[in-house]
Amino acid sequence: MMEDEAVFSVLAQCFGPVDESSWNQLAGSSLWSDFLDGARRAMQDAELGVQAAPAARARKRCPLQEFLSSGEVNALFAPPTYEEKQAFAARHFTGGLPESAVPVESLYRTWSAGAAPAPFSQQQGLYLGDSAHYLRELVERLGMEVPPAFAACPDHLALELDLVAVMLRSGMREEARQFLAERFAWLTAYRMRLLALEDDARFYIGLVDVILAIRAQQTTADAVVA
Amino acid sequence: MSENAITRRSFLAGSAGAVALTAAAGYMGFDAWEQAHADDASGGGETKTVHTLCNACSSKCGYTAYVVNGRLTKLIGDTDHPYSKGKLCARGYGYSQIAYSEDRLTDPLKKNGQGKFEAISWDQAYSEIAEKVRAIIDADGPQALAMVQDPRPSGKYYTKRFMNALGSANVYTHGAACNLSKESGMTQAIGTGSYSSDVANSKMTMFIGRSYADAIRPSSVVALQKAHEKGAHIVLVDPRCNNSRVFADEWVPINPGTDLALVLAMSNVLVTHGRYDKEFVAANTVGFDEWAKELAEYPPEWAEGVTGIPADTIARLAMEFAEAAPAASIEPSWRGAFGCSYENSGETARAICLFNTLLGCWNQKGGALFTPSVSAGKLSDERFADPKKPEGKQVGAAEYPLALSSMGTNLAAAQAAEDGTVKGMFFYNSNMAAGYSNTAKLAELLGKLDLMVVVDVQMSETAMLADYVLPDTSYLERLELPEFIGGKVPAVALRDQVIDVVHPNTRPVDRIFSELAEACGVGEYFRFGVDELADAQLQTVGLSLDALKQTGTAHFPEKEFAYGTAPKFKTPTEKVQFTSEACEKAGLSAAPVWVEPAVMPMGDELRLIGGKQAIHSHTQTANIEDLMQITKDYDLTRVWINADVARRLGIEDGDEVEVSNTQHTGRVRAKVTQRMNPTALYMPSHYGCSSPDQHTAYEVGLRQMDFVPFHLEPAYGGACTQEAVVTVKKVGA
Repeated sequence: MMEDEAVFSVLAQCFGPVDESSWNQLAGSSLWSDFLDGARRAMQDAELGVQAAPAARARKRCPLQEFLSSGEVNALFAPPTYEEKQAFAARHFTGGLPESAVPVESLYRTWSAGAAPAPFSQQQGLYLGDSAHYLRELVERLGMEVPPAFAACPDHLALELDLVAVMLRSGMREEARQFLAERFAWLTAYRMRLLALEDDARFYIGLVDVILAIRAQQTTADAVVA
Repeated sequence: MSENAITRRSFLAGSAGAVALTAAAGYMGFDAWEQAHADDASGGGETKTVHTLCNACSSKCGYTAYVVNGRLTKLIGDTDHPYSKGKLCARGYGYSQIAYSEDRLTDPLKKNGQGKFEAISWDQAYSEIAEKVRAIIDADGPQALAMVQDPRPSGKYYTKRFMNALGSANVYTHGAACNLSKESGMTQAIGTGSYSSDVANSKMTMFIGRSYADAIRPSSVVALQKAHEKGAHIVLVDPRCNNSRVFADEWVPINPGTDLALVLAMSNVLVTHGRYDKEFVAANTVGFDEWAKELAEYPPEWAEGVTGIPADTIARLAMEFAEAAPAASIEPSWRGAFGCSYENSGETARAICLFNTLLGCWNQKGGALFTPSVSAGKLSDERFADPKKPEGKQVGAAEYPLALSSMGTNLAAAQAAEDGTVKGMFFYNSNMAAGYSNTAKLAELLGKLDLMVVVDVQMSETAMLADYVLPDTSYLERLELPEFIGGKVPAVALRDQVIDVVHPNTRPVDRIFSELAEACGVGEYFRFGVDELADAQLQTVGLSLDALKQTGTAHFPEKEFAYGTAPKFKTPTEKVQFTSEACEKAGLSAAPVWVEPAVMPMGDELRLIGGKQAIHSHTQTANIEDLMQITKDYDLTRVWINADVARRLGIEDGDEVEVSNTQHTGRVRAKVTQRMNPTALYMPSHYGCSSPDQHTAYEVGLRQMDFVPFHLEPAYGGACTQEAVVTVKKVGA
């Protein structure tokens, strides 16, 4: 079964640009079922990023249908081909179109709460808000760099998911949990955006629901601990 | 790639997918980050300042942009800049958020078989566009290609160079829907497209259809305020009592489309009573006697019936002008009432210049001035050599011979798509489809093109019609060529790059047209950077790019204007032309005479007039949320209707009304006011956006151009944007 960090890496690749060969290997093999199993576990286990014992890994868990609609489950079990993924991105992961649904946190938050008191600080729906600048700085503090293709959106969902994976893989479990709790609330609004698209977005809605469910599980677990 | 490699693949951390444990200590939660940056703007952050030029309207006011940690935080108008003089208008502040707008285009787009746009690579866009350009040139020659652009410092250079390199002379500004008729008419009379009224020092200035307070250039508003405070007689001639009224003494509520009659009648009074500058006229003009003979037909009593202005008022205004001369003039206007509005706009502009000539006010303190300008000299570097001048003439030049070739008649180019004379059109910073003439007709015409390419920052209505849309950087993200500015002390100013490029897959206009040229096989004319060209241009006037970056604006005091200097009229006769051979050849009267508007309201009809509001520039700023919020807060989409007319129609202030004519029908709320001429209905010209991609502007208010029939002004080629009549009724009545 896929570990949590790998689950987040795969989630990141679903929303980010990947080449044809990588996508085909990911979506067209047993890796994809491993991913779904891993996602199912992450939605139900409180201990994100903890290597579970074999017995615990074998524990019976609820099926995906408990968390997702049947349409979403069906979509997740039949991931898009590379061409389909590219076509969706060309229609929806580009800016300025009525069917744009760019997965960028800044677009769903107030631009700046104080770090940049521009004439339009309190606007929503602008690129490069506080969340983007926070992400860029965080990435750099961790010794990495935001790739040039993400210059407009260091708070792109693919990078945020990727960062969770990197932190989990680097032993930063608590930081990853904190990051997950702080950053992904905007996905509720983003989910609404995906729902409004004319094209079938159930695959991506399903993925968003997986992320939200993992986040909810961790938040609930933290509350119990507290 | 192994399974492990795939599931460890990272956009951030390379193939390892992890960071060193030492780096992990750098983690910082969002709250801590916010706290750490709380005082960035007050000095805690890394701050830089950049001199640049606004892009919210054509004035291009200079300001200093403050950038903290890479983000734009503050704009302060440059005191040295001749237009801003230390101030910006609301549009200047508001429009800056376009750089970060959700509605920015982020990738090149191609329309697919279903009519929907999809992102494609730049290489694909360039190669497909180039293939179509070559096919058009092979089949029909380069004159089958045309370009429409709203001039900006770099855009006007690169678009023209691109088209000329391809061999096409069809380069048009937006002018036909702006100030083409005014500039062309004035050129026939005085040899240049405009002049400056010395408003601040005048004893009397008349504004015809222009409102400094509704289309703000800060320096103009300051000048008007000064004039008002010094007791100048400021007269607003406008069917609508516009917002400059706070600085004015008199509102003349003229019937729209009849300004020419007013000017002819005032001229009649001056000539009849011998109250004109006979010496100046004798020494500096041709054709006066012929015009004077024509003027006999236009006494104030005649004009009263046309304009709705009492004859006494017309005569009084003329005599007040005579008293105030030479410290008096009719202000040249811009788009206003005769930039492109009516069948008689060009002739109105011509008559205004002739009226000012009667006042003997040219280059006199308080009068009408020909202020100096400076331009870049010839460049010795061969890379900057101009392409060969295209052999053909602009499409439309034969049909509209008086239209200035520097602007051209863009609507004629669109019209030429009908019969295939023009097969490919490019647009830069131009929203022709929504703002130049009848929207349905334009969509039909542009739909006939084999190739339509739009370069813009957001999905305009014009872009919606295109085959390819190429995403421009915003004006804050690029260096542009120097902007030379005429004035009492001429100047040059620079739009420098303020912030890093926001979207990495957008490109600045200079790069787009250089790369397109390369793809089309004419790249040899574009083998230089915009910085190299900017520096070369500035070197010819004794400056450098580095030096201008430091100051933003530089002046040329050695060229300063001096009152009383003899004006040079660049007409064929080198004099003011009361008569024009070119006008006569174009089928007009040699000397300006009364020309009826193309349509007149009958019965309950009202003439539909447009005009700016101080917070918007045509359709360009409507999608800016802060500016649109002002629209909503003050209910600014309302149409203005005269209170007496409204009472007769049973319309009360705030009622929803239906505005209708043969072109279009739409609903909007009404502002009932005595500040309107009873024959007109005013509709602000910013609203009614039909591009769903513009989330803020979409479907707010009505669009004036939906109601305007497609019609061009004879000889001049203006868009006749106010040659429309409508009926109005209360919804549900």
